[in-house]
Amino acid sequence: MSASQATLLMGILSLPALLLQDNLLGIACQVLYVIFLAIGRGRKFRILPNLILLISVSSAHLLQPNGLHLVSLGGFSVTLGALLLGARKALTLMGLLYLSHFMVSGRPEFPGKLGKLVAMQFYYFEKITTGWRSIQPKRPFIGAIDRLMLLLEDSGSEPASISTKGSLRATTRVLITNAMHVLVLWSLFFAGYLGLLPAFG
Amino acid sequence: MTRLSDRHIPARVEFVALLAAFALFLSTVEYMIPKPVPFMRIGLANLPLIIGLGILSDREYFLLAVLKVFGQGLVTGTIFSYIILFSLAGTAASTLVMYVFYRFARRFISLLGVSIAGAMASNIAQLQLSRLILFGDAARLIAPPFLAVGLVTSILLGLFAESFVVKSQWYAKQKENRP
Repeated sequence: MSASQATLLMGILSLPALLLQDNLLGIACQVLYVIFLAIGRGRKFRILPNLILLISVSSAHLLQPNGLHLVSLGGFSVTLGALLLGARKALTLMGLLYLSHFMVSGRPEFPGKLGKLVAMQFYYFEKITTGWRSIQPKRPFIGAIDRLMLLLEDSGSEPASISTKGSLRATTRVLITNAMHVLVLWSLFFAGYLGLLPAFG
Repeated sequence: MTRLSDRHIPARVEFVALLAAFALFLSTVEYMIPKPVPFMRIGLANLPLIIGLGILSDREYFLLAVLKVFGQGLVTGTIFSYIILFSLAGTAASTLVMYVFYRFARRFISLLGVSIAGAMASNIAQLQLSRLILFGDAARLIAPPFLAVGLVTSILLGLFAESFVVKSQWYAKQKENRP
């Protein structure tokens, strides 16, 4: 098993722990954990899009009052149940997003014909990005794209470069680290499930 | 086109992979364009799907749509998240609608019209999905601005596609070679 496949497997095994999490604090901890995992693999974390997601999903749920009435804003009642449900949903989505970032950080190879085609797509993608740098001038844009595509047409055969670059084999350390991530995420799930974490609302 | 790789993959499929890579490239170009709202998308990556209508067979066209979604999911790291569902729903709806319009109503509709129809189909599919998994009934509140932005960006993209198919030598060459 390659290192990237081990990471992918870790993610697949951890997905249910996030999806089934019912405790708000539990999901918040899981989200923080996967965000750190993704950042550790060089992924960027931007506050604004996540904040917008959290606020928009939470406020959308306020339209369906549920549970303890907190406050009225111009005839519109803000309820605790709706607020918590929205927040939990938004956190789950954020968690899945960063777990996904982490899962594909090693650029895993996919099996079968589709996997081969995706590999070929990335091969051409690299050729396009390299070719684009050599295209001058870049304005007008249509002319530049046209020259780029014609350049790719004329490029020669390089069968070796499309082959998968021999992924690194997963060392025992990589396997143990990934197993630990699975364990942490499932422990947080069970901590929420068994009531070891405080429940709000 | 020149064969570049695996001998077991036909040249036409390679050509589809090239167009899918082109879609990836355009999505990175779009990423660099500053936008007033973080979630706003111009949809530049849909250009290969629009121009592909005139140079790909039916099978190749749908394969391109699948590769576009998977490739973008991998590049952005969203392939195992809810975002891939939005991407799949939007691309599936727009691909199907654009295909139907182009194949069966080509005499009455330009690429601009095809682009608008595709964007509307994509936006409606994504709104339905957001109603199901994100916002519930509140999705109707975001529908008007979402559709309005989609309309404007699809007009821009449609005009760009129209201009591209007229001016591009590469496109003319592919049109000649179309099976």
